[in-house]
Parts: sequence; C-alpha cells; structure tokens
Amino acid sequence: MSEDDRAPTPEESWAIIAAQRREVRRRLSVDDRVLYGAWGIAWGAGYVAMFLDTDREGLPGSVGSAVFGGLIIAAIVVTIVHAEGRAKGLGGAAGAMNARLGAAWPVAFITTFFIFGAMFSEGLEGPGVGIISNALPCLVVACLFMTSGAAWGDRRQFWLGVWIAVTVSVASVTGPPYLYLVMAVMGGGGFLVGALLDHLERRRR
Amino acid sequence: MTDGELDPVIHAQARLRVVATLSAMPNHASITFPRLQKLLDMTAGNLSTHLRKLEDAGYVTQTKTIEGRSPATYVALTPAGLAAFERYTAQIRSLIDPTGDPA
Repeated sequence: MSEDDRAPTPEESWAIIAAQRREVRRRLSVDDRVLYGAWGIAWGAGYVAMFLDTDREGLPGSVGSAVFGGLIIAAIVVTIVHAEGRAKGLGGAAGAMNARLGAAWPVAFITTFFIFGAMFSEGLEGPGVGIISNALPCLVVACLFMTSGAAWGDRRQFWLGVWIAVTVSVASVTGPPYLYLVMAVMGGGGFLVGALLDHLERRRR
Repeated sequence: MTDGELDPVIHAQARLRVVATLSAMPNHASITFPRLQKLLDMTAGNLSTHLRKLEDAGYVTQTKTIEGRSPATYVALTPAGLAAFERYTAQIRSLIDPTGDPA
C-alpha cells in the first residue's frame, strides 16, 4: 500500500480537511483587502488631487485629472490581474456567471464613454458636466457591486454598492468643487472600511 | 447517526485531500485538471488514478470540453460526493470528540 492510500487517523483527517480549505481560500478566493484597498487608495488620493486642482468654475484641471486617471488605471490593472489569477481554471455554472459579470464592466463603461462623447460634441459646458461625468461611471460601479453582491451572496459587496450609490447622490447634490472631496472621503473611505472589515474577518477565522 | 465504517473511498490520504479541496471550491465551481493538480501538488498520473476511483464511486465528475483549440477537463464534486464528504466529516468530528455536538 502506498503512502497515498494509507488511512489517516481521525486527527490527521481533520488536519488534512482544514489545510485543504485554507489552501483553497488562500489561492482561489479573491482577496477583498487587495481589491478594496486598491480602489480605496485610487478614489481617496485621486479625488483629493482633483479637488485641489479645481478652477473657478469648480472643474478639475489637467494635473488633477491626470493623477486621478492614472490611479484609476492602476486600480483596474490590479483588479484584473488579481481576479483573473484567482479565478483561473475555475468552471461550471459559477465560472460562467463570473465571466458574464466580469464582461458587464467593460460593456457598461464603454457605454458611458459614448454618452460623454455625445455630450461634449453637443457642446455641453459648466458645472453640470462635472456632475454627470463623475456620477455616471460611479453609478455603474454602485449597480454592479449590488448585482455581484446579490449574485454571490456577498453582503459586504452588496452594501458597499449601496454606500457608493449614497455617496454619488450626496456628491452630485453637493456639486463641484466639494463633490470631489465628498467622493474622496465617503467613497474612498467606504472602500478602505470594506478592506478593513475583510481583514478583521480573516483574522477571526 | 454518525456510527459505522468510514467511507473507504474518502478515507485515504490522497483522496481525502482531493475531496476536501473540491468541497471547498468557491461557489461550487468546477476546476481544470492542471489547476487542481497544482493546488494539490500531485503528479498527473497519481491524480488521475484517484479521480478515477472517485468517479467510479459516483463522487466526482470529469467533463471534457474544447476551449479554443485545446481540450480541457473540468473536475467537480457530485451531490453524492458532497453528501459522502459531509457524512465523513461528521464521523471524524465525533471520533475526535465523542461528547461534542455534531454540528
């Protein structure tokens, strides 16, 4: 009989089961601390940069916008690399749902770019442009967080989506330039609290 | 009741690792053979042998698909496999702590 076929003692069995569960969680499950942490930093620092660079109309200048854009692109890269790496090789109904939910993001964002393009080509100007161009993509994030949270039974992700929707509402009503500060504090802060809650839960397990 | 013999299909080191891993898949996802092999750090031949035994018992399914041009095999636990694993864990728990309440 090979070592493989040896019957373990009950204690060994228990240890094997616990070890395999830990291993799967460590290597296959998305680490929310990484994702929410990346987005918390991108929103927190990026929106502050835009707030500090607003002109007399309350719209962000090119430096603030470039810092924000760069941080958002970095967060997108972190998200794709991390989530793809963890979900690699997973299939079945869960894998298909994951792939479709993942595809919803670029579809929705490309749509918002078309709307912006149409807005600018119609010559829309003023503070209203700042409100809409911030609110639209953030509303996409809020809706897809609520959807994914509901689909996976991930309550924290669902409530983070609700929180982002509330943040966008408050920021839009506030208007520029304080809109960007609201987004940094409530939005960026919301992501960081999500990352912290995940960290505390992992330590309890 | 959790009395009786431990399921010999599951109660072997290597197959217990396979079944425990498959039972812990996020959202009951299936997993490709190579990713499972890497996760378990087993040789392909060894893993195949154990998967065949688990498949013969009706605990595991292996589905062959074509992705692009290359074939891929997805491995998943069947409902019968999950039920057998849950029974096995309950038996182990009562063997370790006979006075404890089986969860």
